[in-house]
Amino acid sequence: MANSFESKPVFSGETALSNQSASKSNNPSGGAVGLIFHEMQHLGKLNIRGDHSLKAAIKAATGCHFPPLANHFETAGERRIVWLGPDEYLLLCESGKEKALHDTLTNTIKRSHFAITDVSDSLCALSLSGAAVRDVLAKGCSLDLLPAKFGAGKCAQSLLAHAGITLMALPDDTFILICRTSFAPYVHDWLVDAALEYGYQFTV
Amino acid sequence: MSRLSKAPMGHQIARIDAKCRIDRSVPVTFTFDGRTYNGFAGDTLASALLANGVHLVGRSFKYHRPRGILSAGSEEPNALIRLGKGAGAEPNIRATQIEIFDGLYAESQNRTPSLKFDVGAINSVLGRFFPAGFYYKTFMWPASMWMRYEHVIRHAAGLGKVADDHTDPDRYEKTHAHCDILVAGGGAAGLMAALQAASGGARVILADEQNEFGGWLLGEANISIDEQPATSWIGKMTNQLAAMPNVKLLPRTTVFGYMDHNFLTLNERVTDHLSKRPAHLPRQRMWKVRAQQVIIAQGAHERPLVFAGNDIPGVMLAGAVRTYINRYGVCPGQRAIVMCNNDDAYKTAIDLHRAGARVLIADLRAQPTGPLFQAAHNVGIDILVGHAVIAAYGTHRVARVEIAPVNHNATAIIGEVIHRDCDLVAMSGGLSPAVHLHSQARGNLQWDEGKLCFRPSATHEPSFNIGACNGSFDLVAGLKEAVRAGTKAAAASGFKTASLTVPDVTTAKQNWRSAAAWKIPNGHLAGRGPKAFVDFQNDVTSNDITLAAREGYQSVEHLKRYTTTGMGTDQGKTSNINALAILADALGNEIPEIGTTTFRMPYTPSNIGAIAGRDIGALFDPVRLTRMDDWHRAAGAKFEHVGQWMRAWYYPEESETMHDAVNREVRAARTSAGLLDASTLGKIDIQGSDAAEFLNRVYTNAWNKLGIGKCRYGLMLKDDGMIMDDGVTTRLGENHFHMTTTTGGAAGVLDWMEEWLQTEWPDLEVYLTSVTEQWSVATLSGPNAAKILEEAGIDIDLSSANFPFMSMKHAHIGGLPARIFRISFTGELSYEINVAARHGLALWTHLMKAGAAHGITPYGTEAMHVLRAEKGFIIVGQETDGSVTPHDLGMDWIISKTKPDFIGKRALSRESMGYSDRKHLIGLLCSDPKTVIPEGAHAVIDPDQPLPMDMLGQVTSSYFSPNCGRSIAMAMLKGGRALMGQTVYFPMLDGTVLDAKVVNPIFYDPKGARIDG
Repeated sequence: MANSFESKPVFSGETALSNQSASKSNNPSGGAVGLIFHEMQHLGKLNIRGDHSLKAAIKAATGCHFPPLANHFETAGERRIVWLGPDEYLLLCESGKEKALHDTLTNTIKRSHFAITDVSDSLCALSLSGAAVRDVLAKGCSLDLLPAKFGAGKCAQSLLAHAGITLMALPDDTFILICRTSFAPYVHDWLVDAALEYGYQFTV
Repeated sequence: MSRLSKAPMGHQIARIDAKCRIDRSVPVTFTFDGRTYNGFAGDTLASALLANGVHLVGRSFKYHRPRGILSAGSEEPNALIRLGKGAGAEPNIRATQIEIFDGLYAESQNRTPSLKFDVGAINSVLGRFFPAGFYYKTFMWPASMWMRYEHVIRHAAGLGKVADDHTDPDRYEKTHAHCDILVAGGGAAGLMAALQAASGGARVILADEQNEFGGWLLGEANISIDEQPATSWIGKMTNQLAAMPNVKLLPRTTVFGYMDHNFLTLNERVTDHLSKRPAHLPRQRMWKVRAQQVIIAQGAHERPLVFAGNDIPGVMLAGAVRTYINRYGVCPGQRAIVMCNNDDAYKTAIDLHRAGARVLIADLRAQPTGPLFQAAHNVGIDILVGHAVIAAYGTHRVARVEIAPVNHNATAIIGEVIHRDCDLVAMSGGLSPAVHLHSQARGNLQWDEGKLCFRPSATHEPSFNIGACNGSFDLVAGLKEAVRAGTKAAAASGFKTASLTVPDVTTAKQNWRSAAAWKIPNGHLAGRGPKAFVDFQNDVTSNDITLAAREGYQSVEHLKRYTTTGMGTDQGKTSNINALAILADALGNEIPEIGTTTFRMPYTPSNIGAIAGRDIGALFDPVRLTRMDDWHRAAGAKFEHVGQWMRAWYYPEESETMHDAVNREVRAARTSAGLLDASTLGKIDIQGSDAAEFLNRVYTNAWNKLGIGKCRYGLMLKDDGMIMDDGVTTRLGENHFHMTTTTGGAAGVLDWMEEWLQTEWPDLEVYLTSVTEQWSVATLSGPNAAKILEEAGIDIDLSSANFPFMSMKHAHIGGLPARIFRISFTGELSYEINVAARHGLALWTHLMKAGAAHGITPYGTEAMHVLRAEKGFIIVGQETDGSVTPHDLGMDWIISKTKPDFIGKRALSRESMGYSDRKHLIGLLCSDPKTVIPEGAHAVIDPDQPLPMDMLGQVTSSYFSPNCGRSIAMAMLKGGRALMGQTVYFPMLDGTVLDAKVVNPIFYDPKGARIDG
C-alpha cells in the first residue's frame, strides 16, 4: 500500500514540490475525481549498483529479497527494492532511515565492486491513485498499463511526456512515480493538465 | 439553379420521405457562404447542402472550374470547405465528413470574389495553354525570378486559406493505447471481425472514420440480414460490442498511419460535431496504438469515369448518390443519367427510380445480364447498352449530356450521338479496394484483371485484409473473411474463440466484374475538345497524362510529380487507378507493369494540433529550476536558459541596466564577496576499486596520485582528440570520487562514460551514479569569503595551511552538513559549498544574511562569464566547438606524457594536430578600450585585401571588464600564438573596421596572487 509511506517526514527542509499548494478540480462528469496524487516527501532513496553477491547483505539490512526480477520490485514492510537495470537498483525506505541503511550496507558488503549512493534529494516520488490513473498516465507514457500486464509488483523506467520516470504498480490501482526533482514541477503540471477531463486532487 | 437560389430558407427541396439515418425531429441550422440553411441531425454538410439543392460548393485548384460534391466519404476531392471563423478557422475539410450542428459556419474556397462569379475561371478558358508541367516550362527563366513567380502562382492556385490568427484556440490531446487486435474500419466486415476477435477475451479496438458504424451498408436499401434491414443488424452488432469490457469503440476516428511493428496512429474527432463543445474535452485526440494484430477493413472507393465534363457539379459517383438517397434522405437529382461499366450502379438507378427520379442508364458493356439488370428493366428504367456519356455540359450544374454507342473498351464512338437534358449524372467505373493502410505497412499488391483493381497480396506486418479493401466486394464473402481473420488474429494473440456464424444475407445477386473503359472518346482530336478529368482536386485531365507520356515520363512516380496526379489532400483516392491505366495505355503497357505510386501516411489529412497535443506552451519542454530559484525570483533576477535549466543571469537593482548590474556584480566578487548558484553543474559519483584508473582513461591527465580530499581539474576528449567537457574531480576516498561536469554536458558525459564502461572496459570495477540534483551548490567568491564563512558559523579551520586551494573538507555551516570544495572559477579565494538539496535554499539565505555586513552580492551567469574571462579560463562550448584540442588552447600541460592511454591520445598524435595554422586561443585588446568587439566577429590580417578576405578565426568571448577598466576578448585565430603582439582587424557589417592587439589571454592577476584572499 502506498499509504504506508504517508508517515510524516522526520527531516526538515524543502522537497521538490514543497512549494506546491494543494489543489483540485471537479470531475466534469460528476462523481469522484479520476486522479489523486501527492508527493511522498523525504522518502529515503538509495541507488544500489552491484550484482547477486549483494544478496545476503541486502536481505539482512532491508528484509527484501534480492535481486528482484527484471522490471519487478520486492517489498518488505516500508522498504522496497526496485529493479532499474541488470546491475542497478533503487532502495526506497522510511524517511530518515537512508543514512543508517547506507552505512549498514557499506559496512556489511564483503566485496569491492558495488556502489551505494544516497539519492533521496535527487529523486522525487509521487503516489498516484484514482479511477482514471491509468488513462491519465497513458496520455504521456507508452507502457501497457493493463493490470494484467503491469500489475502490482511491476516497475519500469519510461517517459511521461518529456520527463524520465520510474513507474511502480502497487495494489488497488495505486502507482509510485519517481522522477528527478528538477522535473517534478513539470510532472505535477503535466498531470494536472492531463487529468482535466477526469478531475484531480493534489494533496500536500 | 436560379429556381433553387430563390427557394425560401429552410426549404429542403431535394429531401425525400424515405426511412434513413437522419433524425427529422432534430432540425439544425447552419451557414454556408453567408446564407443560412436547414438540415437535420445526422446530416453531413454535403448531404444538407444537396438537400437544399446546392451542388456548387467550390472552385478547382488550377482552372477555377465550378465543382460540386463527388462522393459521400473521405475520398472526396472537390467539396473542400473552410470551416469556422477567426483563429479556429480550418481550411480544406471535406464537406462529406463534416457533421452539421447548430451554428456551423462554412465557406467555399479558392474563389474571388464569389463562388458563382470567380475571376480565376479565365484559366479554364485558356486551359489549352496550361498543360501538365506548364509552370516548370514557363517560369524556368530567369531562375532568379522563380521566387516572384511562385508568389503569384501560389495565390492563384491552391485551396483554402489557414486562419489569419495562427494561435489555435482549441485543445488537442494524444494518448497511447495497446491492444491485441486493432480493427481499422467498422463496416460490416469490421464489425464482424471485431466481435469474432473479442469473443475470446482479446483486447480489441475498433475504429471507424464515420459518426456511426456500418460503412457502406448504411447507404443500402435492398439488403436484409437475418431477415431484418441491414441497419438493424448493424445496431445489434454495435450494441453487443459496446457492452464488452475488452472492446474499445472509436467512432469518428481515422486510422491514418500504419508504421513498423504494428504501431498505428489514429485521429479521433472528439467534439468537432458538437455545437457546444465541453471545455474539458479535447477537440481532437491522437491515439498511438501498439497492436499485436491488425485487421484492415477499410472498404473500397468507387472510381469516376473519365469523360468530357465529368467534373461539372451534379456529376457524382453512383454509390454516393445511393448513399445520399438511403442514408440521408436526399435525392440529388430528378432527371438522372446513370453511366457505368458494372452491375453495382444499377442499384443506384433503381433507388433513384424509387425516389421519384426519371432515370436513363448508359451501360458501357455491350451485353449486361443478371438480376440487377433485369430488376432495372422490370421497373421500366431505360437502358442503353454499349453506350457511354461522351460529354456533359452545364455551368454551375450539369444540364445536358451527349450519349453515344461505343465499341468494346470504349475506344471509339460507333454511332449516332443522342442528346439528353438532365440534372444528375451518376457514374461508376468500378471499385478500387482501399489498400492504403496495407500499403503503408509495405504490404504487396496484385492486379485483379476481372474486377479491374489492385488488391492486397502478402502482408509485411502481422495483419489481415478483409472485405471490400481485400477485393471481396460481396457482403457474404467479406463476412466470412471477417470471421476467419478474427479467429486467426485472436489465436495469434493467444485467445481461443469459437467461430461465429455468418448471418443470412438477402440481396440481389450481383456480378462484381467491371468492363475496362478508362478514357471515354468524345469525337475530338487529342488535346482538343472539353476536358475530361482524371484527378479532380489537382485539375489533371486525361490529355495531361497522355502528354506527359509523350514527353517521356514513363515511371508512375515521375508522372505523379510532373502532372500532380494523386497529390493534394485526397492523395488521388478516386484518381490513381484511372491515371495509371491511361498511362499504361499511352505507353502500350499493362497496368500491373506500371504499378502504383507509394502510399504514405496520413490516409486523410490529420491536424497538426492533434499531433502536437499538449506539447505546447509551458508543457512544450520541461524547465528545470534549482532549489534556490525562489530566492532569485524574489530578488528580481533575470534568467537565461542553459539546456533545460533556467539559471539566474544577473540581478538588476532598481533602474540598473544589464551592463551596470553585471559590472557591479563582477566588482563585488573581486573587492568583497559574490555568491553564485552553481547547483546546475553536473555531478557524478564514481565508486570502485578501479575508479582512479577509470579517470586516467577518460581524462588527459594523471589521477593515481591524487590524495584523498584533494581536487584536480580535468579535460575530457572525444576519441577524435577534441575537447568534449571539463570540470574538477575530487577524491572523497581511496575508491570514491566526485566528478563535476558542465551544466549542459552532464547527461552526455554520464552516457559517454557508462558506454565505455559497459562496452570497452567491462573489466574495470567502477560504478557511476548521477548526483547532480542530490546537492545544491552555492559558490562564495572574493577576498572576504573566508570571513563570511566564519561569521556564518563554520566548524573547520579555514586557514590555507589547513584548507589549501584545490582541496575538499566536510564541515557544518550554520548547522547544515556540507561538502566544501576550495576551487575557483574566478581566480579569487572561493568555496563551492555543497549541501543536500533539501537545505539548498536555507544555505543560500543563511550566507546572504551572514555576508550582509560585507556587502555580499549575488551574481549571475553573466558575471561568472566575465570573471572567468578576466582570468582566461575557457568555457567548453564557447571557446571550443568540437574541433579544438588542448594544444590549441595552450594547455599542453594537462596532457600526460607518461600514461599508457586515454581517450583521444592516439588522435592527438596525428601529424595534422601539430600544424602551425591550427587555431590557437589568444587574448585581444581592442585599440579603443571602451569598444567590446562583438562575439563571433572574424579577424583578418589586412582589412584592405580584396574580397573574399582570408579569415584568421573568430572572437569567442568578449566583455567589458570593470576590474581591468577596459574591454577584453578571447579568440581562436589561425597560428594565433605566433601573432602575439601584432594587430589584427575586424571588418564590421556597417563598414567600420575594429583593430585589436593579440595578447596573452590572462587579463587579470596573471600571477594568481589572489587565490588565497
